[in-house]
Amino acid sequence: MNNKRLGHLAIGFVFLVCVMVARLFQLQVIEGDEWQRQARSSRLDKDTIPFKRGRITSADGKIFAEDDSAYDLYFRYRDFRRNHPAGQIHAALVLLSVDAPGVEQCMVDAHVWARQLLQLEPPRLADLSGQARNDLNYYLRGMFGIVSSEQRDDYFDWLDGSDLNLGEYFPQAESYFLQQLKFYQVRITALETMLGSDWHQHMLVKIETRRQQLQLMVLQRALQDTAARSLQYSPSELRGKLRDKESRLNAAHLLHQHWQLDGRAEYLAAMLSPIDDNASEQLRQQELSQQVELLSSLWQQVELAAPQDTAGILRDQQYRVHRFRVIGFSKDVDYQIVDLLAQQGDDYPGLYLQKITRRNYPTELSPQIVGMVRLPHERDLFEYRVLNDRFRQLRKLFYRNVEDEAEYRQLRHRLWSATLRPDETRGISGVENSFEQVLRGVRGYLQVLEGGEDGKVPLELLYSSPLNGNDVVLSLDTKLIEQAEQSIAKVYRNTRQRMREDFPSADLSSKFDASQPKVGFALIDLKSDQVPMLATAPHLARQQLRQDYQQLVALKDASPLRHRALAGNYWPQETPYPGSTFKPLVAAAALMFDSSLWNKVYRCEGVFNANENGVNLHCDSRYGHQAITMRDALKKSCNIYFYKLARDIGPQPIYSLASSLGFGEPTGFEVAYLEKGANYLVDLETLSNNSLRLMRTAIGQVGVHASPLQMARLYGWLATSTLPSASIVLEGAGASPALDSGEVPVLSNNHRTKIVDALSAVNYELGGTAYKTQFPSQWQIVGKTGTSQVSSGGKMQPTHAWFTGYFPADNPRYSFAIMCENTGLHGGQIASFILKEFLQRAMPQLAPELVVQSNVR
Amino acid sequence: MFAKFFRRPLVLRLRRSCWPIIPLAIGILYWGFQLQWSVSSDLQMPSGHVIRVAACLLFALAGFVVRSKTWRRHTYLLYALCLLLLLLVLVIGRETNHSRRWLDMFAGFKIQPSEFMKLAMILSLAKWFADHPRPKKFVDLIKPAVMCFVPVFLVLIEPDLGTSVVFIPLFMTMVWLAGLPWKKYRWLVFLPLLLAPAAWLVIQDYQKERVMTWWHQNELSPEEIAAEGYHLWHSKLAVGSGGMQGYGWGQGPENRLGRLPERHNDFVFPVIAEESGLVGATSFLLLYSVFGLLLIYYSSRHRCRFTRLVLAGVGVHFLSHMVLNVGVTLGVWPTTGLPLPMISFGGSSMLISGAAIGLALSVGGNRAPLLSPR
Repeated sequence: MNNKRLGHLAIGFVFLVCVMVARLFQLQVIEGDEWQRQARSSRLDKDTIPFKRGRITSADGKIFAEDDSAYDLYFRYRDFRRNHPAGQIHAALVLLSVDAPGVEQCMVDAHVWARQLLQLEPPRLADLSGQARNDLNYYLRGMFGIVSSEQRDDYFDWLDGSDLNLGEYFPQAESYFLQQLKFYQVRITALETMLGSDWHQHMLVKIETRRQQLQLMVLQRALQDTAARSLQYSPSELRGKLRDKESRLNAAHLLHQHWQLDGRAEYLAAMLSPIDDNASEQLRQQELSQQVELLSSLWQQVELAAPQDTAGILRDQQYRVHRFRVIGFSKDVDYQIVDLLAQQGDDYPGLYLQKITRRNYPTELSPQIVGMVRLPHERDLFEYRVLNDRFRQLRKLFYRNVEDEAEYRQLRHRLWSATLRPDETRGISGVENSFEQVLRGVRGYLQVLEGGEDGKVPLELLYSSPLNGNDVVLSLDTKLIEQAEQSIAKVYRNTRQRMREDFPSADLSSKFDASQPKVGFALIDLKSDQVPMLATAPHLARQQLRQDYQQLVALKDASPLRHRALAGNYWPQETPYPGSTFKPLVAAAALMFDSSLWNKVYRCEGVFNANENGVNLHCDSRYGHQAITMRDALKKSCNIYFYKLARDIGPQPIYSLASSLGFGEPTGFEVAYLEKGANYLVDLETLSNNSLRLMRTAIGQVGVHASPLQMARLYGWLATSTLPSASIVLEGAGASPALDSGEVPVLSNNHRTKIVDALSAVNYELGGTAYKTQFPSQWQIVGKTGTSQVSSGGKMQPTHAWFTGYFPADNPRYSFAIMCENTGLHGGQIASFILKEFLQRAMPQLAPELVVQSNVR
Repeated sequence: MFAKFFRRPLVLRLRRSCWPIIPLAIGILYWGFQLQWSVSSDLQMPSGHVIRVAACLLFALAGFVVRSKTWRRHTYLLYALCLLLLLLVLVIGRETNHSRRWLDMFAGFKIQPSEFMKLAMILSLAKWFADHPRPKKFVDLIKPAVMCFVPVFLVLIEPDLGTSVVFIPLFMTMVWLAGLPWKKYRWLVFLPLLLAPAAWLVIQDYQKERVMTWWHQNELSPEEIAAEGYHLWHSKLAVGSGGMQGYGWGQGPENRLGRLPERHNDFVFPVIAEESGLVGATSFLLLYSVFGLLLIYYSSRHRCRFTRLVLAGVGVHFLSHMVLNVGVTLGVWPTTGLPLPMISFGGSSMLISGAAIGLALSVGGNRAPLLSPR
């Protein structure tokens, strides 16, 4: 042994120490800044402080929608499994490879299972793998109260080779278990009672369902991870591929081959990542337990085919899913439960409360207009997912250059403050959707440096308070809407009786359905240029909207999802032809074209041969109105007069006036999809080439569709020469997207006076189409009835009844339009009565000076 | 009076021995005490560690008092005892974290026989090579190899990969110092390297995972950092963020927030690096290296093969632990659990460190060194 060798040894160690020092130098000096940044960012904890969405309120201060706090009940299976007797028994049985029943059945037969577990002897445990044995030890000790250090030592002594079984070695174990069992049974029953009748004896059933769902998720993720290993992708790469339809199938084919499976690759794809295809649908249709069984069997096949790829994956996924997956259990639980879980949370293992913000709709009016919010759909989160993927990619980089750092910071800011996130609701319909940007606030956040700069006290670095969303105040008045809805219901109820009295000759047979009003009613305040009331029947209940949406969409008879004052999205039998209520526009166009036409007399024989092809057009009056002027034609609603008038003046004046008054265009109402298709005007060329179409358009058929709101605007123009706004939003930053109405033609006073005189005669002169409504004279109703014909599938359908106009004639305050769909009645038989009933109720609010006592039938 | 004191046999032995390691050992022990204080919850003085340090000093004293020839005479007995303990631990040892490494003694005391085996191994290999002629062929190494690999095997099946690994450099050092010709020795070095890929087939999954994590340590995803890469990542985070000066005693965030796993035991070095920075960590490495290298240096000053081998063996014991432990925390080697002697929390390790120092002082002071002290 020479010193040279010692020298070499020393040199070897000196070299190794130098390597250590060099590595230290690399980490602490060369990469020091990066590590400090990493260390700091790993200690940064950023909590989001949610904003409150703005409220939606009515003009009279009623709240349509607001955010408030609530508590949801959540469940984490791992904690239940560890601490609840049913969970412990189930876990122990699974570890012992016993065919374990569901947790609810484990609870029912708990004492039987416990006795069987107490029969366990050490050699049975020795057969298990080290990990399974340790897990089983944990559950057995928990179940049988072997918790103190002495008991634990005793337990290990038993495990080390006692001849006794567990029950004999620990004689107190059974009584301890039964005591615990009773304790937890009482607790569960108490909680079930508080949660309500739906939960009676169902808590454990629901927990079992959640457990099976988690098991399904564990198996699915384990299969995905194994697939990633087999195809040599990272798990996230594979999940990315599974999102794409084509690469998903390619991957399934490769795996099918690699794992030597039977059956079709499509089914494998469905089990790996279900989408909207047949195979996935078939899988979904199976019972949950069968789905779990299918995936378990697939997993076993994969384990046999690729043992190296499956190693450790199932256990890892089980840990992750059970540890981190928190499942929603019950929403908006009662305060009693909140109190109970806050005080005695340990008695309810696995159950947790989460404070959340919930959108409330205290006023059940106009749900179509107010709309609703919902958690974002996957496609809404596209931006979030893309940005988040990129953000995570950048975060992973140990070194970020200047551009990367700038992009990283920008993305972080966007993700934290601007982008819609999975846990945030968004407006999906109505004003909630149209004013999303106004109603949404800005998230706040609190950034805390854990341990502070010196590792001692947490340091609050950044605090940004949340900015709540702005409120949106609608011009709608809830009281008026309620009164309108009540009026509609009452008039419909009384119509049969009234018809028998007033119109004994009318045929009510099967056409009129009093039980199902389909009415749209719009009211415009001409002074303030606001829409205080939009009513629709049937009334849609929000609860129904949530529960039976698909069914409601499919309804053809009542289609309550439509707001009939806006008339959009109609079925063919509901096509909103304005009928005779369009005639005043034709009259105005004619007078603006040639003033002398007021005195022009046309002859109405009841039938009019419209063109050389022999098409006959009819008037409502069987024997005709004979020689008739424009005034009487409006008063009596003579169709033939307007056919002839339209033929004589041609399409240009009518089309020009109608289009400049917004017909054929959206009104500018903020929730645009509610009037989708409602406003239509045939083009000028068609009118020019087709005289029949022109004539029919002149009486509000075929060539023109209009919603009650549109018609109320027309009569507003007749009253004031200005086209009223259709906006319902009074306040809200960046609010109204209402259209610019542009240049509106002016109706001369002379012409207006003439038309108003005729339209007053409709209501107040004998022979007027709404005369039988008997409006009080003080109201000075200027109105026009309408009866539009509709057909569907080549068959004539019951007609719509309209009544439109404004009041009072002297000093116009409000314009209105009422459309009663498919009543088979004349406008003066039902629609005008709705107005009368409504004004009777609402006049004290609308125009107190016009209030009169009137007997409305 | 002082002269008389210095002429006492024990003092004379001490003067002849490698006494300069004493202040260095005390320095390291004090550093360890400070560190255990720093990692304690609420920065409370670690009274338990004080007892362990006291026991270490006591064992060092005891080891020194035992004469060299007594150590040498009872070497194989000691080895046999330790072997027995290793067998015993497999039978009646306490199972913790899926392994049986501990034997329950009286009054709640536990011992880790594999730690005691380290000292027994140094002595027995030293004695074997001292008592036998210089090995020239592989056949000459069969018996010492069996002597080494039987305990290695027993430790491996506990299982305790980290501890079993440190027996290898010890054996290699002893064979090297025993004088196996280089032409033969190189096979001992290169053959395991060539056979390393085959080891991949027999090691367990979690060990493979650790190796893969170490290999891809710069590309760990957040999920991997939260799972298998947690130890390595937080260790590097603590070391790297320490910078040049460190955060100061008891102020390292990774330490104080408890995010650094096993920081009182196998991952104690990152605490030094985090709180003392490059300056402190390098100083610590220098102190520890000087301590170990001094033992090797002193071994070169003796004629007696047994003495030389024991001193070098003790030096290699400390140095190899340091290189492996620190290397693991810096990501130079794959993660494995190994204490840092005289610093880490473990009682057995502390006692054996004391005993090893005592042994070195005892053996080193027995005979006149080759060169007289200057």
